[in-house]
Amino acid sequence: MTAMRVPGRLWLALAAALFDERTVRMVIEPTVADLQHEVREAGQHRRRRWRALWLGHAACLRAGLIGLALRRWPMRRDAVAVAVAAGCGAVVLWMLAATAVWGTGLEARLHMAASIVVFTGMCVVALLPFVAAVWFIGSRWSTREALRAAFLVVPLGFLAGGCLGWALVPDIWPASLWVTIDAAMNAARFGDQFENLAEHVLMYPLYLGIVGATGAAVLSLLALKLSARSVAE
Amino acid sequence: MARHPALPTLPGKQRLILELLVSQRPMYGLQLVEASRGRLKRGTVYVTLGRMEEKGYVESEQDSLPAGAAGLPRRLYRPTALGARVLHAWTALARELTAGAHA
Repeated sequence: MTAMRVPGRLWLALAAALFDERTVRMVIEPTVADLQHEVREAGQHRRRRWRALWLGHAACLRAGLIGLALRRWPMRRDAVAVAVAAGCGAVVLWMLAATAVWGTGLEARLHMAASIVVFTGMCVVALLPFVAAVWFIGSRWSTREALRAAFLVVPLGFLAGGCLGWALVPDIWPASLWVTIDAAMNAARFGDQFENLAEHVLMYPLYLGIVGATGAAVLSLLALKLSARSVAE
Repeated sequence: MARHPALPTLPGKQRLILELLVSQRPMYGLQLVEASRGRLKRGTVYVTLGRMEEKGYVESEQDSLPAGAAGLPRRLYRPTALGARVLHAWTALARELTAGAHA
């Protein structure tokens, strides 16, 4: 005989990430407990078991949505920070893409937008270790401030470094940032030589962006540590 | 003018829960949903119960799991003395107001 899987664990994990401890204990856990109880009561009766699962999961979903909708049941601050950072990131991404594609042909616009999205994705991947490190190490001193540093200060450091890097590109380079990004991923349109050069030019903002993110991460962690020490004293 | 202390309020769903708990016995959330005949919903009943617990109208404790069962234990709710008093006061007030309206 195989052991029966206990349903509702996903809801508990999601709730632990989204809600405060009290909401999980008072709202989500009893709802999941009801689901598990009904499934247990249904035993091997297939129809009753499906009904219990359906009603129980629907109740968990409703409890979660109400938890999100009502301010009385606050979300955990880190979940809010992550949601805000993700939202801001998406808006910036779309603004960048919209700015870049303005006034060119449709096919070229779409390609350029795709190139920018890919390049931004690469930047995000480059940033992730710094964000994770600041979040992980900084949480030892202050979870809230560590989140702010990880999702705000580190990306800003990356952006500042990237801007400086772009400013350092030799004046002889003829293309704008958007065209350079497009050219680095479109040899068919711009030619192999220009594509190769564009890839090299993009290293300026990318490398200096990483330097900026490193500086911001180190400074944030120092500030967090000093602030925690001063509070302790 | 001197400020009066805040009066305990008792919205409809909270009154229904208190009525069920006072008139019957300590109940689980799911039993309350079943006893309310559709007036309380799964998933929202615990939000209401959480608020009532915050106000001190009900108290709860985790039940024990049946032997060999896995998962979370259910939570059993019972009315507090304050909850019973508030329900009594609201019922009396409602009766008086209704009688006044019919007089």
